[in-house]
Amino acid sequence: MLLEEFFERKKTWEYVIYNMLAFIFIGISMLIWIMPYQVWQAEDELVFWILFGFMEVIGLDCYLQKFTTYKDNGQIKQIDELMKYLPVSHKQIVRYRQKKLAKICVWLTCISMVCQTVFATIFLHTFSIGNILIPLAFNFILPLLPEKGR
Amino acid sequence: MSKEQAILSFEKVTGKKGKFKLKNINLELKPGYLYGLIGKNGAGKTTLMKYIVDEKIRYEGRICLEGEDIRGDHARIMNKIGFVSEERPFLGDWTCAQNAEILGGLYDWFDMETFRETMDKMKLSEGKIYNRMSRGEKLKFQLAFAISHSPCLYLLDEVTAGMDPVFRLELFERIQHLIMDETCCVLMTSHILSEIQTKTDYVGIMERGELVQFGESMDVIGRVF
Repeated sequence: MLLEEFFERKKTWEYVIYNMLAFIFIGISMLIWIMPYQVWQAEDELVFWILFGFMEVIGLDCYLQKFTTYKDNGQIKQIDELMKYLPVSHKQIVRYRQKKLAKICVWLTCISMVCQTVFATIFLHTFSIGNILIPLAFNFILPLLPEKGR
Repeated sequence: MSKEQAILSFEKVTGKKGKFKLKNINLELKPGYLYGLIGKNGAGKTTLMKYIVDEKIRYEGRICLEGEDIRGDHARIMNKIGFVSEERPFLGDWTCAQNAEILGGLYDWFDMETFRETMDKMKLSEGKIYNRMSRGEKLKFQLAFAISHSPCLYLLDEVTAGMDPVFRLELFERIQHLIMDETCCVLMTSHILSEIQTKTDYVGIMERGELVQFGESMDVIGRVF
């Protein structure tokens, strides 16, 4: 709760821009995740997945900027440095970031799962477990892995 | 807290992390006293403080604050410590008042009224941007910030180095005022022997990561130097 308040108070216009960028990148990347993967069974499927996956990572990174950095004298510094001598442990910050990331990832996963299932069933008259597993892997498990390792 | 119970204790603390090295430190700090640490550059004065406030440093032995091991609950420990150091980062582009509001909000208890009063007494404007302040002003702000969350232990790292006599006089007056009610103690590092001898109650001498002397300031300084 204290961290929630802290990040809310520390909000500056830079973070508004970061949030907008996050919205744009995640929005674009979602174009591929909401479409049934059966549509992408072309030769360049992997290239598309990497490209859109990369956009999603950039988007999520922009979203997390508010919780990982702060600006000091024109320089971007790590929030962990600022918190070092404050009554907040490293674990608390990591957990807080994970929670924030997990929340957005759950939304993205749910949206892409539902869309993939509905579109595959209605337009392609097919459905496979891949329509569930691919959104789960790319929108939930993969984005959370680097944060888990911290 | 009774005067017999130590606020901070080091029990056989030994550790090494890069240049941060300490060897078998045993030390007890009791409430109501001002403690000094002296030693050459690199002797381990600041390192000793880092062992208390940096949760990432690993060591053998025990460091206890009010009888409890400081390992494991950094947040709880930092609520009880007022750390004043040039190295300590704040939100540099924000004003003192904003720093106090934003960062002070992370403490279990932070009194903005005390902060304002202390800033007033030190003739510092709350509206000043942190990065635009002089070194002395930053340290004064940090002291006001520390006082506002009522810690039981103040750690002052080289706060008097390069400062004018007026600043030093004001600082020691404030410290005396802090320890008067015997609920907290102050540990400060310094290079200025005369200051340590006359202003502190007890002094420790550090050499290559070891605490080689510890005792009443008048005795120790008189004997060693």
